[in-house]
Amino acid sequence: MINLDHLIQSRMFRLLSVACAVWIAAGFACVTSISAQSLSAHELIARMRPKSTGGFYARLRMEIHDSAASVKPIVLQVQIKGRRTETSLDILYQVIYPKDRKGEGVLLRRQDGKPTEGASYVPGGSITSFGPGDLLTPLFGSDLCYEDMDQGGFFNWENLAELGLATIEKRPCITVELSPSKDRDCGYTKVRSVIDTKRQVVLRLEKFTASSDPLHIIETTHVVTADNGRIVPDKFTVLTPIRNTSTLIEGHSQKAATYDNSQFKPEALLQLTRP
Amino acid sequence: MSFSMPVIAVRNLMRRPLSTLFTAIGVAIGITAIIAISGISKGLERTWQRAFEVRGADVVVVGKGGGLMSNWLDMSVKDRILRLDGVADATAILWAMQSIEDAPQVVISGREWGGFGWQNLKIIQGRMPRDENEKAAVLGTTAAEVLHKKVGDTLQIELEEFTITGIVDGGAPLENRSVTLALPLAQKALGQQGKVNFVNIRLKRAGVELAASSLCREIESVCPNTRATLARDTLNSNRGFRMLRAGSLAITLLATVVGVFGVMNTMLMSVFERTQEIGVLSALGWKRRRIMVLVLLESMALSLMGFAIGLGAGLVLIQVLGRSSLLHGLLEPYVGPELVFIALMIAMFVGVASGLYPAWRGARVSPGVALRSS
Amino acid sequence: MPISPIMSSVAVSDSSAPAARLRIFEAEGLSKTYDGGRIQALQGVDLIIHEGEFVAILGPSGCGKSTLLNLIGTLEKPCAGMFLYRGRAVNDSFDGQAYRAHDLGFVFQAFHLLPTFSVIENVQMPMFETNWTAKERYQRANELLRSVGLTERLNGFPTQLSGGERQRVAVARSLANRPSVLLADEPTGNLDSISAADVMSLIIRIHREQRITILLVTHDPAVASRASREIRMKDGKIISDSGGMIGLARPHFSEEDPQ
Repeated sequence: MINLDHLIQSRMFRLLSVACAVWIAAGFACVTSISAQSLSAHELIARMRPKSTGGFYARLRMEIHDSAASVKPIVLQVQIKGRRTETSLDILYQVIYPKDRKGEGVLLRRQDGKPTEGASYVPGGSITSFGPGDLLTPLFGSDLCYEDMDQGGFFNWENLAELGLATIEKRPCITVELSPSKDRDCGYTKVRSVIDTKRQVVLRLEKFTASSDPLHIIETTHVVTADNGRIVPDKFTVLTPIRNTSTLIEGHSQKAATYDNSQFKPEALLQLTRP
Repeated sequence: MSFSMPVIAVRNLMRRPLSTLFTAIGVAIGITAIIAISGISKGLERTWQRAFEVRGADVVVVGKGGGLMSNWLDMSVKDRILRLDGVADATAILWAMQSIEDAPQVVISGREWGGFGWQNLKIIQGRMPRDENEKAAVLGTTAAEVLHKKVGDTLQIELEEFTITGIVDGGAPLENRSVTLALPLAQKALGQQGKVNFVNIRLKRAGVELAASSLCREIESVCPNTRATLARDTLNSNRGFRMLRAGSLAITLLATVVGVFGVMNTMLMSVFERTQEIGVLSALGWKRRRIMVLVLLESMALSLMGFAIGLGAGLVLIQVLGRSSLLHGLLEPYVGPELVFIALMIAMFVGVASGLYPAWRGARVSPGVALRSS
Repeated sequence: MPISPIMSSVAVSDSSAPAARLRIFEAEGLSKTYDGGRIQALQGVDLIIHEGEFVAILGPSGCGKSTLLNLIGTLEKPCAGMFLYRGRAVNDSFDGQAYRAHDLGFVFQAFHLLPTFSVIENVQMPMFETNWTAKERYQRANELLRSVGLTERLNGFPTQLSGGERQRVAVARSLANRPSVLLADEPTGNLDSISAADVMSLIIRIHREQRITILLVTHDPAVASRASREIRMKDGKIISDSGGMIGLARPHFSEEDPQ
């Protein structure tokens, strides 16, 4: 009986080791196939660049948290109208809620070869223009600034450095650093981006000015699959460490829209319409 | 209890009470997991179904392709459906879930004025809108809490402002989380003029499934790019729910496999320890088959013990989960007789499957060899 | 203590006509080796046993007597040779299990009672192969235990009993299914002299009352002398066979008389 046990045990052992070998081989195959699919940093950045969509419309909910924990967060509902071409960007952010801030708006216009221009408006006041020097002005008092209205624009910057691999919540990512060339006007000196290589979505951004600590840290907290199959962030947190404030941003209702030029003139700040 | 094979089996299990208990607990954990996840899945189904039942829809028509929400239907679809034979009534609904005022997520439901989509809403406070022109909305009880609104307050949906004329009880959790208003007003506010995403249909002969299914095919052919499903089946087309069901199935399979191996291990050890005793029984004339039956009875008994413990633990866990913040208000977990029956069948399968190999090993004991090893 | 007659009856052929006596076992050339042929336990044993005989198989340890009993009891298979039971060949097509269930009863040196079951449950164990109801099983077990004098120990467990009592339970168990043959392998080997005497008296009484064929293996000549026929074995072979007096056991000799 004992001999039989040994025989059967060794048979089971052999079966088990074959099974283990199969699993390990399969694991290897998966891993190599995954790494075979991964892109180089340049290819990945090329994919991340904002597309020339023509016109789009989107909605945001902003929850602005003060540095003092006792102060209740401010909730704003914001609508975004924008259009992007190969060489230009027109984008208009307007507050639609709450009532006492309804109508506040900021317009940003960028054209290749020309300096960035924009205008802002608060109901009861007048339309005020701004220029490249004001790009770090907070947007509606949140932790976003005017430069951030050009979402993902930094992916167009000329200088790209790959900083290495990273892991966020067990997802494999790469860290890249982008900096603009001298002739670009943008508030930031460099942007570090941690990108999920498998899902091709930004999970973390650090935006720097002159100091070595980032001015803003943006963390993606939730992603969705858009209609075209791409994965995009729909919830993220913007942190401003030096002021100890943060803003939770939730996006929704993104869709295409057509606009004429009058929608992006400074006068458009006076109206609040939906396309 | 008269002395019989099952008694012998249980007595043999009691020989090593701790080993028996721990193995039974192993099976019990699997059964608990099965009951918990199936209970949640079933609860979700029922909640969803009730939402449709409450609105009295037999068939639901949606736009095809993409996520459940992203495809719009043109209003003309409803007119075409009304002309079909067997359709008693149809009503169009625009449904969106988005951020309103301070709240991050609220359900907005635009329903055709005069359609049966308003029938299940029972006024608790205030009143219904007078007609579809009044810029008014009613809030479900949960929605009112979330938005901190009462009758008479205004609600800003996108760029439009509405007066809240009433608070309603919709009869189902999803209904109570909704802001309901007249369809054209909702369409204008959300920028979806002329579009809806559901058409709910009532059939002339309710409950006749065959007729309903063929009607669904007819609708799909008359209105291109639509999908018509029986109200109770709509949940199946939801990807999230399908994933939950897949997860539930995976857990069930895993629990079963683990259970089989766990019990089989205990039974193999037990058979090995009792080699001499089995030899004695064989010498006394016990057929091989009887010895196998005894081992199988033991593995079955072990498995059923696990089932009993797991059922108790599973029911408790379901109650705890139902009250937890995670699920509260979202769905009520449900454990029905079918689930208990299935769990029992699984336990019995584990009992039989795990006992087969040990039983075979037991039956092969040669009496002479076994008795010699004393 | 009063012992009731063992309630069973086995048809025994007419013992007065020697030529018509049934040959219950006929063995020819039975051999058994172990360990790949290195241990030759039994080397070509020829044997004829008639129904109703009380046979003692005597020999030193290692002479193959237990092996012979195991082969006859189909607990092991012979490597060579064959034997017949009631004229039927005991080979692969022979239903050994039915044979052990209904024709044989075993008594072992080590008792081999199941420790987790009570005395009366142990006696019922062989009865599961019959179609008796639970109630009938219980009643019969009860009677058997009464006949071996263990009525007070019905619900006790083997560990609570003395060696002699355990062996008596084993004897009762061996008679459960009304066997025609009782195989006893050193039944008194683990017993003190008083219990041994009790058990031997019991076995003899069984033989007398039921005319059951008994094969008893022992290394003790005193025990062997209680049988009606004595077969001596050495080194795997039969070296002598007293042929057997018909029927009754020989008279008992006390310890002072050397055999």
